[in-house]
Amino acid sequence: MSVTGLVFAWALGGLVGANVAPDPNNPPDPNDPGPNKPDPNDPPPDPDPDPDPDPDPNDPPPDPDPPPEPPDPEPPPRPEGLPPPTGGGGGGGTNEDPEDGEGGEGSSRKAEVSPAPFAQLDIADRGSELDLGGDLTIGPLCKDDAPEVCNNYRVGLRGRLPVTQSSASGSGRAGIDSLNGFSGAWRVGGVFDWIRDVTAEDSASASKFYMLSLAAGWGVQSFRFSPDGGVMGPRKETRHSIHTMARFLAYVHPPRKARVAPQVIVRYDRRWSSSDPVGVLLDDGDPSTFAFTVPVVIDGPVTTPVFAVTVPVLVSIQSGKGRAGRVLSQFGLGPAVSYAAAGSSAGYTPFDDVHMLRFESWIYWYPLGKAGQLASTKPNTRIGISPFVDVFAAGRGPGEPTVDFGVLAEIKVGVRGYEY
Amino acid sequence: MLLVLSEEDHDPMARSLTVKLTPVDGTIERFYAFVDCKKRISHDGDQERSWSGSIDDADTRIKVRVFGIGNAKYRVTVDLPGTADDQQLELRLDGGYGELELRI
Repeated sequence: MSVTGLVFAWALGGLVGANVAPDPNNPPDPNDPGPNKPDPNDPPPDPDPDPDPDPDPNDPPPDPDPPPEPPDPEPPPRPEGLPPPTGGGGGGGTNEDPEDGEGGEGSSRKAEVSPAPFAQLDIADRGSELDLGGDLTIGPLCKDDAPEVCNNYRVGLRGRLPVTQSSASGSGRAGIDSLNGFSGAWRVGGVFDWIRDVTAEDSASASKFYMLSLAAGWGVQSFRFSPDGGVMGPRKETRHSIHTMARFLAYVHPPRKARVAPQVIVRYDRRWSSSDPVGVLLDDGDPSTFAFTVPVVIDGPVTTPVFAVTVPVLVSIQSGKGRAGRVLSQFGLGPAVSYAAAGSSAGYTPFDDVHMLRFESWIYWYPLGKAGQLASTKPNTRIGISPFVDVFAAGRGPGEPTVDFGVLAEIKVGVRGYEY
Repeated sequence: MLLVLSEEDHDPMARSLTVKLTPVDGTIERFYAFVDCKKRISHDGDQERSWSGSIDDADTRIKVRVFGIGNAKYRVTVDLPGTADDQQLELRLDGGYGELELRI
């Protein structure tokens, strides 16, 4: 038993002892394995707690000092609306709670719903976006025949707001922005998670669950452009953009060993953006004045459908010993490889233009103390940094490099530390 | 680690129990709470998780398992109205794992 455990035992035991007096009318629980308790195999003890079962009538009355402990005048109140238990209870886990109890036997099938708002700032390259949202978690809903198998569900709303943009609108970097998870414009959407947790109660067993996530987002934008170079005034067109994502994640974390969370993320984006502006010469015909150009968008909005697959494996080694092991356990690694294909037309096919690969190598720091409580009270902070290499396998434009290098960074608060 | 919260005898009625698990510092990834071998809490550790329900008056076992990163800290709250009101303890993980067992 650790020192912490001893403190807890003392604290709880002391407080309980101070608040509750023994009830002399109830026999001790024969199932209690405590050292002062009778053997569970023994017959039930005498319900009479009188220490002297055959008092001598000639004995004087008990010494008033110390006074006999009075019976509990107010036994713990029975919760209203709860019928008496029907099961034997005890440490064997056969407690048969009433169906209408808030968390009784039947509650394993009830949907316990709890909200979870969050905010997150994503930074990649020269772009950043603010994520706002909230989740409703439902569960756990466990099986009666296999109590360690439980299903959880999560339904959430998401909103994304661009803070800065890394690429000009309509450029050929749509695949990169998609890998960064950036939309370049506001989006609203929803997520749905199904989590199947098979973690057992056994102390030696690993935490193990599988998660399937689906997400979709939508946004609408109006674009202005001047086909005639600005002579007749701009035209306006409205376009709808979509984003979809599916993720499968496995989480395995044996106690005090390495936590591994491999996952596969598949995305399809079709976002509209403005065409690149071009320089339009303005010349009033007067040779005594300068002729100059102004940037004008003359083409209509364009869309670049993108399909991307990312396979990250998040690892954190928790088995280290000594000071170095403690430091190491606060870090994690996240190697990831991605493939992205981007289409060039305004259609829906993403495979007819650019094909690229990305390699990332995340190093995560899960800080403790003040750094671990950014936003003053919010734990679960993760700070990550990763160099990346983009390799354009096909479809790169004239003058564009075959290989591009960069660095990604993230600071997430209230994050699920195992998620990429 | 086995702790005996109360060895006292109780009125033979159901009792109301609330168990809360709260992340305090660092990164907590998974919270689990088993009450009499039934999994009552099975959630991510990014926020407070709780379970409330009625338990039998006889001996009841609560087992908490917490998985996270390094020496993250979490809080266990047990509320047994009339017997152990809002008992709290903050514990740190050891090697990304923490466990606590209570018997009430």
